[in-house]
Order: sequence, then structure tokens, then C-alpha cells
Amino acid sequence: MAQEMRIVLRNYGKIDPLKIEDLGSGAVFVLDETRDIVDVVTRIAKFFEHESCGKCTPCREGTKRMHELMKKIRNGLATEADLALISSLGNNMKKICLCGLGQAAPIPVLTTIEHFKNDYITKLPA
Amino acid sequence: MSDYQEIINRYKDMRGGIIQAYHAVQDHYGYIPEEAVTAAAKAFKMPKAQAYGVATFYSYFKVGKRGRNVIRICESAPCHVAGADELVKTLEKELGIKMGETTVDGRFTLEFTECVGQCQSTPVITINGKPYANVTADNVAAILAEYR
Repeated sequence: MAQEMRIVLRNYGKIDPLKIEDLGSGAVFVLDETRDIVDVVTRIAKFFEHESCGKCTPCREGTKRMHELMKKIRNGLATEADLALISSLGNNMKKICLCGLGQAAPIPVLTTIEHFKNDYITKLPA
Repeated sequence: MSDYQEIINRYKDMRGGIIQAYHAVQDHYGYIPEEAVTAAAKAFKMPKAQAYGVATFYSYFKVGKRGRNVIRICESAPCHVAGADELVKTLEKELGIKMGETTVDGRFTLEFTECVGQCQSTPVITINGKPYANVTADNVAAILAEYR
């Protein structure tokens, strides 16, 4: 079962500022434990691939490769090395993409790997 | 002079007017004809590749013929978890075409879209820009009937 993601609603309408960026934009997207978080994040990765304007290479290529890797993980074809690769790719994108879109694109991937590691591990072939 | 040439000429002295020209062309035809891209390149004095790049960068521009009624299915995360996949199958079956295709009678085209901002009642489709919320396999036929 998935671990709980620690988004704290302290006051009405106010979200813990440390966690606001976990899923990208401050939007709150509530999912129960029956949802496949890896599938949802794969879909979010596709969104960013579509939205990338293509001006800078880390975002243009990064969002595409990130979506490819997420599909590979979701389809049960990935290895531990792919998890390490997608984390490394994501951390690079956060630092070197020119604008906020590319810098935010890997956040759903990185934070779910951090908070829902087991959901990713169970997708790896036995 | 062809319709698109006349439309493009109205914007050719405007800086960055190619986008307005494309909007006007698309309002007229429902899409941007391939030849209009060549005409725009000439009018705005840029390589055809650049004019094509502008026309294909934006999701709301479509180069090449499509149907009179454009159905776009949202496939962003909230619609995805609400069953957009099922809706795609239903619409494909209902219209007898695959995503991205146009019906033989030229009446409907199926396209994907990203979020249209109606996440309170997913899944969402738009028909000619008008949003329809809470669309299911059961009520989609009734919605289509308005456009048949």
C-alpha cells in the first residue's frame, strides 16, 4: 500500500509552502490508494512533453526521455538502473532547464519516487 | 485571389501578424490549408519552414483538412483517472474513426487535448471549443446528436 504523501492543509486554503510544489503547480489532486500512482505520473510526464516549447535541450529532450522512461516503468520493463537514470535526469533538469516549466516537469516524478518508492519497486520485473 | 490569400494580406504589415492571420484563416476554413502556410511564408517574408513551425507549434492550429465539428478529449491526469480511455473507445466506436481521424462525411474529427480547466467534473470533452463535463459512455451519444 502506498505511503501517505505529506501535504498539510494548515488553514483553509493555505498549503504547507514546503510541499506546495510536490505535484508541480500548487494544484491539489486527491487520489485514493486504489489509483496507480505510476500510471498517473506517466500521464503527467506526457503532459510536460507536450507542453515543452523546445527552446532548450534539457527540457525538450528531458521531458521526452522522462516520459519514455515512465512508460517503461509503468509497463513493467524497467530495471533499477532506469530508476536511477530517471532520478538523475530529473535532478539535472531541475538545475539546467531555462524556465520554470522544465524545472518543474521532473518534480512529480522525483517526489513520487521519494514518497511512493514501493509503488515503483513493485513495477520492476521480478 | 483565393480566400486565404485575401485573409493573409490583411495582416501582412502587422508585426508578428502571422499568428493573427492563421487565426483568421482557421476561423474561415476550420483549419489551415497547406497552401495557406506557403502563402503566409511569402507574405511575412520568412522561410516556409518557419511559417510551418508557427502553424504547428500551437495546439489550437491545425494544418490540413479536418471535420466541421472538432471533438477534443482531455487526457490530462484528472480526466485520465476519471476514465478518459473508456471515453476514447466509446467515441471511436460511435463515429467509426480512430483518434486524429475525420469521418468520411466530413462531419466530425477526433483529437486529444490537454487540460481545459474543467477538472471539477471529469471526464471533459470540447466540441468546437464548447466544454462538456461529466461525459460518460452513456451520455456521449446524446451530446453528439446535437451536431449530427
